[in-house]
Amino acid sequence: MKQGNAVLSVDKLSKTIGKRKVVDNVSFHIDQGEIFGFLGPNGAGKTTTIRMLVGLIRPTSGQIRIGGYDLQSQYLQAIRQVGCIVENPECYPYLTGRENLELFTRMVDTIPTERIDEVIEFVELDQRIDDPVKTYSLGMKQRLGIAQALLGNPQLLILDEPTNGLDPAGIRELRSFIRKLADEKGISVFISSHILHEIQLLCDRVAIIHEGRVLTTERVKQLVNRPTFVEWHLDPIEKGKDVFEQLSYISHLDIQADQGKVLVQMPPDKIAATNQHLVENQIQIMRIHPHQMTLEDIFLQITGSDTIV
Amino acid sequence: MSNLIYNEMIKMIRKKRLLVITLILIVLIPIFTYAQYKMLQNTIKNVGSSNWRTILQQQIVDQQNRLASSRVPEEYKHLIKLNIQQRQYYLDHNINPNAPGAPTFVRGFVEQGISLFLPLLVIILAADIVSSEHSLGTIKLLLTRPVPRWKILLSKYIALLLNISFVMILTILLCYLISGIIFGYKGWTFPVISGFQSKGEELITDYVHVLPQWKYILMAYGLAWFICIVIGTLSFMVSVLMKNTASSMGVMLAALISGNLLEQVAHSWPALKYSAFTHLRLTDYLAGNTSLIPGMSLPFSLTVLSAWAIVSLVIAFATFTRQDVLT
Amino acid sequence: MHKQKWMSVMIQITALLSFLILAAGFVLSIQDILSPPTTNALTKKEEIPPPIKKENGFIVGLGDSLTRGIGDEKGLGYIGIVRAQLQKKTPNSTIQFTNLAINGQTSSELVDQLKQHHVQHLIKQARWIPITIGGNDLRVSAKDIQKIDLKLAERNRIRFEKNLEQILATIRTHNPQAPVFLFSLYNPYGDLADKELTSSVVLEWNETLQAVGQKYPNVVIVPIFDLFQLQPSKYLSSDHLHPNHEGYQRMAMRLLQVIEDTSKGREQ
Repeated sequence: MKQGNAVLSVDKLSKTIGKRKVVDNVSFHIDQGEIFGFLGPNGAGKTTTIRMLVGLIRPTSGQIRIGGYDLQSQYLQAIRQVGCIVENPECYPYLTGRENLELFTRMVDTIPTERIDEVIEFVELDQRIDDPVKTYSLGMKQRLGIAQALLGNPQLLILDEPTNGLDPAGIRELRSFIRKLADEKGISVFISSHILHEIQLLCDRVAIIHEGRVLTTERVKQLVNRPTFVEWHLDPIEKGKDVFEQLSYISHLDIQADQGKVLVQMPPDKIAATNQHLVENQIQIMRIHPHQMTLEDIFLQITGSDTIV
Repeated sequence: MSNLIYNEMIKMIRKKRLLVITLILIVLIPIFTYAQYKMLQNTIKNVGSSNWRTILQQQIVDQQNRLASSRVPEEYKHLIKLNIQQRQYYLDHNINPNAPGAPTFVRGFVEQGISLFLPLLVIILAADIVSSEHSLGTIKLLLTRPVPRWKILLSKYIALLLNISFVMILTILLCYLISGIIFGYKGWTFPVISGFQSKGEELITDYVHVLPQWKYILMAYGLAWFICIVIGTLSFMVSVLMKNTASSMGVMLAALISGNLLEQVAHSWPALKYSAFTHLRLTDYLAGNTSLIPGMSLPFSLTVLSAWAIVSLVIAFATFTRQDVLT
Repeated sequence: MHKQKWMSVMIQITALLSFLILAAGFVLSIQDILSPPTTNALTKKEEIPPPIKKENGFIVGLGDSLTRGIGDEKGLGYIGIVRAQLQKKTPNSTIQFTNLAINGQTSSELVDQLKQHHVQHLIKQARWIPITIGGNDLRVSAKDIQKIDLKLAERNRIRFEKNLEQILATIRTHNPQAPVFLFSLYNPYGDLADKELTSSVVLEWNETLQAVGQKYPNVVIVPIFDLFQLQPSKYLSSDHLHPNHEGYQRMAMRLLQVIEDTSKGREQ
């Protein structure tokens, strides 16, 4: 593992609450400017892990290093590198947005007051910043949450289920914020989610966590290139079947002659090549329908088990 | 640090906690003022004289009559005897213990309110100072700043102390302004007697001295301030331990009220001497009111109260700096 | 916005000042309680309290539980009834009233009470002074109900005589004019077996009372022996010692009659 330039490195992190091992031997690292997804169903240990990353929960064992500082022994230096929203974007509802930001600015000596206006502008909240937070919509609260997270010029932004409760427009907006942060400012972003699609659209790399363990850590491109089910509506079926059987990357073949289609499992990036191959064999293609990959599918593939709770 | 305290003060002010307390005072003080006015009118009617000497003399005789009754328990008779001697002393030295005026009301308010009313206001202030951060979820924002946890808690504690002080001065001010409408605004320099001591059934007057009323009020509120800080510290601990404002307020109210009730039986249950709530009436030491409970003295009371406060603080800080924030 | 900021800054400065002031008060009070100034700055002062207005009647009740009104289920006592009646007759003035009587008080204790500066002061201002005294002196002569120790009773009577002289003398020194209404004693055991014996002792004491009273000007003996002679149970309360409301009413009627005489006398 390359410890040197990793913004965040987590090594064999575990947390036991009561008798339950909520987080079990979790390790991963995030590089500079990288958007890292933390994917898993609810109750998989995502929130507990995140709370350990920001010092809200003490790990039972394992090590967390942020920007090279150990979170346990060099808490202040380490946490200074981090901006975060844990779960809901809470602020003091009886204060205005600006007052909330002023409050958090006063807590850290190194933040200049001009920084407040910078972050307000960045999250495009200038119109409503002097209104009380209790009048904000969830999307505006989310933006205020990001603003407070950015106040300290963090190297690492930690967001826990940031799209929870947002409408599609809000989600799109948030996504563009995050991209902008990573691309323009070189900030590393750690995002947890239980929706594969979201991670797929945003992240560079992803760790998949289930029942407290990290099942796999890989590039998102790699992840989405896992074999998926593709429906081929073609004619004649028999001839098509012969062609598919010759292809080495087809892992599963299901003929549904009555509906005029063949269901195969294959890597999605091979669809174009397969299509060409079929056409060359004088097979008529009516429709190609690749199934959207879900988190469940991936779990099925990795664990072989078929129950995800 | 001063920034952190400033933050906590802002929260306290903007949460409108101080406003609630001001409103409570503005509603209740006129009621107390009127009640006292009615009581005075009633006494004048019963005694048939508005001369305080006549009233005082009548009160002495009334108490002597209570002494003669066989239904009064011995320990109370002891108190009554001392009380008679004290009143007699006032009469002999021509000092009216209750000269009417707003400052006298201010003094009476703290003497009556020190064991229940003022602590109640403090509980309103203190009970949610930490627990509200939990119920709002803002604790997660607070504890992910590059600031050590003990500093955050300390800033909250100092803000609480400042707020308690503010509320006490506010109480004095509102009592003065409101009660003055009926009783008049004079009387800061009225003489008040302090320094009564007792030895058995004898009232010792060797240390008796006259204070101007303003000084007596300052000292009485100083003692009440100490009580409020102790109660505030207890509530502070409860607020750290409980994640929910309603339950932390409930726990403190239950403790305060049952502590007040138990105080009344403390003379027959000596272990209660070590309960903080038995020692709330510190102004009694100033007024020279004798306690039924044997072995009570100002140093003892201060020791017990301080011990409770210090233990509470230690528990609060130990818990806050170590606890996992799970919700 | 600016107003709010200004407000909170003001509150905080006030809070800090409050903290310092109260802390100072706390330290002061501890000093004052733990090491009070040893020089006793207080000396008894002779004060001149405002005199009671002349047109107002001022009743000062002295003595024992009868003047206190014990046994009256309406809580008035003869003094309460008298006061109400007088008030009714003179609606323009206020009848003021101080009850210095103490339950169970004996003549010796009344002598002590009259030594108090403020009691003397009140007597000085009194217009009427009703007294009931002697009942308790007599009662302690009986070891238990009905059984009178005649020797002890005689000793007590002599002391009572002496005390009564002193009481009346003191009152006269401080207030030479106000009429003193001295109630005589009655026999609460008039319906019991020994009634001849008990009544004779009470009458003997009443003679003493009469004799002493006559020595002083303006002392009116109000006899009440007869009121409770024939049907004591009807006019006594449940303790069979103190009058009930009816009993007090009868006492009040007697007192009212003589009080009216004195006030008429004054007006002339």
